[in-house]
Amino acid sequence: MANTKWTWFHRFGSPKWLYDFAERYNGPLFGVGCALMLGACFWGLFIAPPDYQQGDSFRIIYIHVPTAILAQSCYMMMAAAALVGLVWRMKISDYFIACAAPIGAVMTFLALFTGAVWGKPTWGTWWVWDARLTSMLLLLFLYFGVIALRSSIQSADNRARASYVLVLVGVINIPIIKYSVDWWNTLHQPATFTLTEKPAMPAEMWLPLLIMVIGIYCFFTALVLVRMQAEIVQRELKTRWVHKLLNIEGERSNG
Amino acid sequence: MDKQPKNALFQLWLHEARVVIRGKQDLLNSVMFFVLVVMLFPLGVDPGVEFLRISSTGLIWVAVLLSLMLTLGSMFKADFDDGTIELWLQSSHPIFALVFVKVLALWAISILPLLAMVPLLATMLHFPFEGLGVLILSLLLGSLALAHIVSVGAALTASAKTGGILLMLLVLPLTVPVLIFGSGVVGLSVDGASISGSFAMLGAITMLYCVLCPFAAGASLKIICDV
Repeated sequence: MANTKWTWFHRFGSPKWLYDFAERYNGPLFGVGCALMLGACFWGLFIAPPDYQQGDSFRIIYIHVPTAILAQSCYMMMAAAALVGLVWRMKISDYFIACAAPIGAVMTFLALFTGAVWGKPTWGTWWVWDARLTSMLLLLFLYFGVIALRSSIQSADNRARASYVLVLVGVINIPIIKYSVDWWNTLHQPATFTLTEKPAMPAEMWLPLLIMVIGIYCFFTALVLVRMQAEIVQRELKTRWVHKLLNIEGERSNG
Repeated sequence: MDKQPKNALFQLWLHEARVVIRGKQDLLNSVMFFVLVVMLFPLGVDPGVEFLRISSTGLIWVAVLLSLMLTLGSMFKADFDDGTIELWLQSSHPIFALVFVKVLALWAISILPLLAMVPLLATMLHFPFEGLGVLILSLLLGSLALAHIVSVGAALTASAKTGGILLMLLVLPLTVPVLIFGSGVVGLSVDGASISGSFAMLGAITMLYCVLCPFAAGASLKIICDV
């Protein structure tokens, strides 16, 4: 009983199984993700009504919020992977962190960038030293730190374990940073700019947002799976199944 | 050292402190760096009394932070190169205890010359004299947290060939809470507000890092030594 419960978990630990899993699902996930995002974009940009205060400029929410949510949850996923990697020594954790960190960094950057673009018409400025903005900026540097540390260590095993430690140290720090930045902001900056108390959005406004969030998660999963396939082939190059895989594809291209 | 294992940690503290004291030039360098960084701001931004009075707390805090990063950033490098870390991992003491003691020793010695310069720089920056005690206390407490945070980065980068900038990138985002509460406490005291709450927060953050960071640094040392 215990065995059957945990087999899914052990299967995730096998690079070959994950490769096949990715082969099967990354295409559909990519398609569904892109379709949902394009559909939500169309809905959000053309069909949803303009905001009564912000007019059409609020529509950037359909990019801003999904990227911000993904930016934060991507680090949490990396932390979960790091914990798994540290406790069970799964190589997959390392591959996941290697593939997810750059995507997370890009998402954080996009969230900050779209936030700045949104801030200009609504707050009248590109950047405020607001608590949320500042902690997102720090999150960006946490991502950069993971990427930089990984590129500085040659040995694959050391690189994996060092990035687990760094990611976990980061994730323990995130609430502390968030709390202290909130405290700092309320101390030094008595609410010059606040997001106007949002009235409960009508459904035609938040539905496309929800679809966008689901779409971007599908897109992210597909992207991570494709990148992990590349990472797996690269790192498991010596194993028999990768040889077989590459040979078969080689023969096909020859024939 | 072997006969009295309880004393060994104290001996390690003494040894590490002695090593820092004997590297006089490094200590002097950190002090000079501290003064130079502070000096850049009146030159680069504004030498006016008003600007300096407002920003002096932050300037001193940031300068202390940077200069501690630089001096403590390579704390494990020599130990890693000559195999001391490997011996630590073989010893009967847990690695986190050894890291903790080493950080305590380095912190206690290297913060002192910086603190000694603080009154002088505070005067030059027109920092209000009444706040000086709180400023020094906040630096004393906050720098202990900083030293522990740096130890994690130093352990992770001890085997890297170019550690300096990488260490800054890893560690600086993590020092933000200490900086905020450290300089925040001083700001409150200069404004005449009650500081006990924020001081307690600074102390709590420091204690938290004192407890957690030695484990992370110890784990990192194990990793770079392939244990």
